[in-house]
Amino acid sequence: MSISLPDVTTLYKNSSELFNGFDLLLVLRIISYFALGIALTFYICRLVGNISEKHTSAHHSQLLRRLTFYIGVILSILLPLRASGIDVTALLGAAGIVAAIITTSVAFAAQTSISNFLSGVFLIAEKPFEVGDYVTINNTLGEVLSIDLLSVKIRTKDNILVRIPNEVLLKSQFNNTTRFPIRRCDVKLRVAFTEDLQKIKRILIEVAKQNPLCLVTPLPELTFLEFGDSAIALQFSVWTKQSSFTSLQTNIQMEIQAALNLHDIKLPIAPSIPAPS
Amino acid sequence: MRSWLQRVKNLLPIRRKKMASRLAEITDDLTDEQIAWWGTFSVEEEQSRFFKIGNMVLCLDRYNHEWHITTYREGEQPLKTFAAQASNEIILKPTLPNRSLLSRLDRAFYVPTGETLLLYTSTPVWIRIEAGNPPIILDEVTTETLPDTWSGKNTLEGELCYANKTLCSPRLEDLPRDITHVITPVSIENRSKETLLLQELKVPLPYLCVYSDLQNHLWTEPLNLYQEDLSHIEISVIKGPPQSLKVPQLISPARIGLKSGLKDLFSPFTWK
Repeated sequence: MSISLPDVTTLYKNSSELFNGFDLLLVLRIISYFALGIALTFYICRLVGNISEKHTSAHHSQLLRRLTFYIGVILSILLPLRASGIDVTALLGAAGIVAAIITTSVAFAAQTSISNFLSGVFLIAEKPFEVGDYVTINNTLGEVLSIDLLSVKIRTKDNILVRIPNEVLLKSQFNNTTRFPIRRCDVKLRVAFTEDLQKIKRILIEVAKQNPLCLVTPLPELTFLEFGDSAIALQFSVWTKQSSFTSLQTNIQMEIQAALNLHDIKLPIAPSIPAPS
Repeated sequence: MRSWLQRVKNLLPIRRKKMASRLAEITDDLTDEQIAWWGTFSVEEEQSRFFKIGNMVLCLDRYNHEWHITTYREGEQPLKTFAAQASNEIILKPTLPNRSLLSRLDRAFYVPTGETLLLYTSTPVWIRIEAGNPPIILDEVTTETLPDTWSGKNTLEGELCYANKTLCSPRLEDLPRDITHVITPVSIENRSKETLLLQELKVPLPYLCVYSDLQNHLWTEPLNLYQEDLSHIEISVIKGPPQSLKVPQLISPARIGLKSGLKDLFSPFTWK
């Protein structure tokens, strides 16, 4: 990339025109136009947000609001200057030259930011999750608060804010636990070798039938996992609405324990491995 | 029934005397006669009105700018309080549940090519309680708790429905026909080249209205289903009550206005 040296004389001439014969009234006028522009920008941002929320997702609405804000701020700076008779094209030209210098000088230092930015663009296009979804990223489970151009912000269940760079997201596997309307809840249990598995199956199916959070279909399922060292490992799977998963996960296990106790079915204790002497 | 009503009489000591006498009247009126419970009723301030609907009793209390709605079932007594305007009129309407209903057949049916099968499903109603002028919905009370179920090609595509506790049947006499159930006639015509194996049926309740006939039986519009081929199902809802009804009356409109595109509402078909 070739860089031309800044035209210092042009910059000096524009500054002189701006500040030579200092006009307080002009400055006040520019400031008041700028303040009005900012106020109008905020109002338009809120309007855009309200309209877009009804027609798009929360994430896209957020992006539209930000874009509107940035455009509004830039116009609030440029239009008052132009209306006051100041030639902004030279300033823009000078600003462009300065920007080119700054861009080049920080290009190497900004590699990560650029990577995060591009990763954010890919994430926006791919939409693997949306604002409001619950995701697990690198063992962090939380609700997606915002999907920004450089990072994603997540609120964990104990109310901690976690910021995850987009580059990390794009490279790693993450689970979206709220993408689909229903979810399966798996309960693993171990029973003694001497127990009647058909009886256990009947008991578990009845527990699922009595629980109002369990869906009738897909049908509850009992899966034989393995003959363990000291017990038979089973997995009982039931389906529920996404919104009911946490409640079901707790209360169905309590109900299973109560039902097994009622039928005198004991869950064996795993033998402890003695510490080496 | 009488034992839990006795327990109810022991509760709410402030209203005990008033409620006990009303409940006694209700229990004395237990007959099999089908009397319409829906309509517009007036309840003055500081007064109560009781409605026995199926196996439950609905109690409406009117206070100054308040409505209290209590339902009495076996071991269940939730109380809800609603702020209300000056009107003392309350409207009760039977309405259909807010999701589609999945009903299993009592036995699997094979529908050969060119044949038509007529089935009936019975849906427990919800009681819609409205007040004010113009009427606003205060609450909707279920007469029977239906379990949730999923209906779809797989766990990704489909919808949440209610699972019907009663089976659908080609014989109307097999279904409960009391004042808390609505009957939907469904006609299934096989226009394809394959035999259709029918095991369950999903009825799109939010798109249907509730009508009553002279005997206060509740009906919805009939549904016609045409299976053209394995991937194409035509569904039409015949607007208006079944033609066999004498002096039908519209009780509740549909929750969702009927537009084009009721496809994929009967996806639990299986083809043999």
